[in-house]
Amino acid sequence: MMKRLLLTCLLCVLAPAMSFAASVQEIKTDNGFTIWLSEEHSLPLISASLLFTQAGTAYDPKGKEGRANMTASLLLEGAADRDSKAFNQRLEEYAIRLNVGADEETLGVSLNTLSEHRDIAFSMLADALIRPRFDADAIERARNQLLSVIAQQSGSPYYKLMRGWEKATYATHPYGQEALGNEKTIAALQAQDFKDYLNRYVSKENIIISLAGDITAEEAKRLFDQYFIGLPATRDADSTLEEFMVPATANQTTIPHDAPQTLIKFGFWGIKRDDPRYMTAYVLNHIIGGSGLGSILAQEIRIKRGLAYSVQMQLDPKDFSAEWAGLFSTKNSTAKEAVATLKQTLSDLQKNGVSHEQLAAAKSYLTGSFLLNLDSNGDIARFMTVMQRYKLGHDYLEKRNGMIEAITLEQVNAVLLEMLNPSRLRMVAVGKGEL
Amino acid sequence: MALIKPALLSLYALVWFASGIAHAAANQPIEQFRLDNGLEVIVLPNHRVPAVNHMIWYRVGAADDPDGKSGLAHYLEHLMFKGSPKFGAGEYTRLIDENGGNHNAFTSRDTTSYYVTIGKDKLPLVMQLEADRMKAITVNEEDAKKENAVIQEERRQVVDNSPDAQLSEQIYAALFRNHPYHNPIIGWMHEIQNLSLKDAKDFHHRNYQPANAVLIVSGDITAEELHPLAQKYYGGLERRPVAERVWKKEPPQLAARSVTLRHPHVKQPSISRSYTATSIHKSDIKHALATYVMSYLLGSGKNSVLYQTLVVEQKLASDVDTSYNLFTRGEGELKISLIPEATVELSVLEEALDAALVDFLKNGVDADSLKRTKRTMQADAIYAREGLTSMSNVMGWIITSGIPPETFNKWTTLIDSITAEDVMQAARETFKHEQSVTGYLLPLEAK
Repeated sequence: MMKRLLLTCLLCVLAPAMSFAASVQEIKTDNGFTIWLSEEHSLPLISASLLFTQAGTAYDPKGKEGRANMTASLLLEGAADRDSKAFNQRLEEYAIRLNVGADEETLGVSLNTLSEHRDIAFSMLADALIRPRFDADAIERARNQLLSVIAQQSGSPYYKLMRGWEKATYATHPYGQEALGNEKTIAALQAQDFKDYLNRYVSKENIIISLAGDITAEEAKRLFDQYFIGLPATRDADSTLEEFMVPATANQTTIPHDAPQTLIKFGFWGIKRDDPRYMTAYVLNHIIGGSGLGSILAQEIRIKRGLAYSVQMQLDPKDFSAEWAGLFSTKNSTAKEAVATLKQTLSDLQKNGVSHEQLAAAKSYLTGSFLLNLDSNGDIARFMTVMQRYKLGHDYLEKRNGMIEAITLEQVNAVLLEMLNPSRLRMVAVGKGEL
Repeated sequence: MALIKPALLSLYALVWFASGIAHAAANQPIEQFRLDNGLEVIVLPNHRVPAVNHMIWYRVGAADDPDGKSGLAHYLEHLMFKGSPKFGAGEYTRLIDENGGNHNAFTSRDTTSYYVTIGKDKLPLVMQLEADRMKAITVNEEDAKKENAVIQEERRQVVDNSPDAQLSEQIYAALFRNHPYHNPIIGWMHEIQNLSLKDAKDFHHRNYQPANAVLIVSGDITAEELHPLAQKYYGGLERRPVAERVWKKEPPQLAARSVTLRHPHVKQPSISRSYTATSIHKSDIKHALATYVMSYLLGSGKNSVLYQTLVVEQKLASDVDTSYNLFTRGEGELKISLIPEATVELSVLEEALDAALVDFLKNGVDADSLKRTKRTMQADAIYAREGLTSMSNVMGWIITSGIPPETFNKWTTLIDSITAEDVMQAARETFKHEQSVTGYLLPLEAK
């Protein structure tokens, strides 16, 4: 069964004459895998994006913090009959790029290969996910590397800020735990822990597969049915997450750090991805704190006052929580002025809202630039994975710009009033600056 | 293919690479023309998406900062967004954003580049904006002062808040003591603070003009379509004599140098070794590429010589990495960075590094490693071609390094042509201890 969806009209807003030739197909394989595929045969390259949902570092059990992340690094340290050296030499021999990483919620895999070597690439990926070796010397190497990364980060103000924010926001909820683990937990993790993790969290039930590039639907089907047959059928978590509401109360923490600049993270309870107001919040975020120099905060903090090099906000929707936060850094002596500017800007926004012109400019940028960010197989594969993960629908690429166009000023200002009230501003600072 | 015997497999793969990859990499059309005022234009047609990347490169960078005014080229890059004769402060960003474009700029030691990726039909707007600010900047004193403060914050954020970045800056300064590469691109804080608007305007007038620039446009366009637009928007700009780039030369380094940074925020000690190395400008593409292959083979990734020796076999380091940029107008830097295992002293690791380099020079390269390394580098080159910005970027470095644009299509074949002897010659030329700087990053001494 195959659905064919044409991605035309993406650039209607940008220019009616433009059309995008790529198409997204949904494929169901005989062994029950669902694959989204965008064929593009002009270069002999394939990109794959695999995601295991509800499998990230937040699912590390207490005392085993760092397990998901360390497992991810060990998956590329030998599999089946190839030890680490043989496995990595073979990847290089066939110019296959394979990366595995865990974030808070998921375990993600990206694979890039020349289409000619697709069998080698996908069979090695399957080996890594289903038959990793976890050899003792590879475990010790990974352990040492992680310990040095943890030591390195512990002195960095950025890391102190992120940890400080997580603790202040999520307290004892798993979203507040150390993603990389700590000296004690990393020292204690053993081969059985990594095997446990794989058996529980890397399964057919929670896999998302997207492929882009020089491969046909028939070949995609064959590769997964042939090589991924040993993947466990179901996810069997040993840890569950509960819904967590970021406190709707103001809070301010300062972590001392002797350096020329003070780093500040600020934010609020956010909006989840399946909330009908998500796109409205997305547009509003672009207006107030989007990347680049056009946002209100960049204007007020950087351009008008020269207080920071960069200031940005972003929505961070999680599966069981949501935050909406921003970040900037300023020399210690101007920390107070910068924070005052932030608060003043937010309260002016509460009073006046954003304007028609600001909304129109944001829509114009967000609709026009959308496709520009999807100009490689890897980008397209990752985006299809996002579409699958959040169940945005096959027609999302066609609908997306229309959804943004339809957002009204009233909707934007309603979200602004409700969500970004400075009386609920939460803030963590790292440095010597007085706030 | 599964039935091919292992001994034949690598031969097969090699043949495939010589045909397949090289073919994939060799088919990018390259079109070029030059306007009467000296503006060089390169077009890389690619019709995959209905968009273009417009990237303009000036042959001027941080190494051209006047004495005592380090950071000026970078300061000017920031001020370029603050107004030109026909467009007020912030108009550039506003117009590009509203038309769905992504834009940015970067300053290197040798060049300054400005780029926009945007729908094809918006290209005239981009060219109008870019040509106008090539003519002049019209920023006022107040905006210029604020932007100076922004750059000071950029320096604090990127360098002064990070012991690692501070040490890298000190290593580079020790590697180049007379040559202008001595100065950081962003500038020394005390010199940034004294940069004036007049300095920036003078620098602009001296260096920003069509005969000192290269325009690269990649994407859904051909030279035939671009030529009238280039003529319309850039053709009217005045050609001025291009100032000769006179850089002070570095005297031969006769003694190894070392720098040590002890810092209270360092929790993980590390060591790095930098050597002055050749570059495309200093010798030729073959020597520079051989050095690049050597650097990759020596310390990039889990299969590299140093990773296998120091991390896997001797267990003295937890990680190792090498870096080398061949596209520099002056000498290049080949840098080896090492993180010791928890109980290993830096001096022990350094001795092991030296011994590993001696072994490498003595034993040479094994054929399989060289083959694998070359394949990885060839594949990297292909993967790097996927995006429009990336295409313009690669071409920009080629052109501003003074090598022919066709090199873009010959890259993988050139990599293929590097022999084990080329690699070892590059190693012998690079690894001279007296031409090195060793950097130590350490916690504060226990009292």
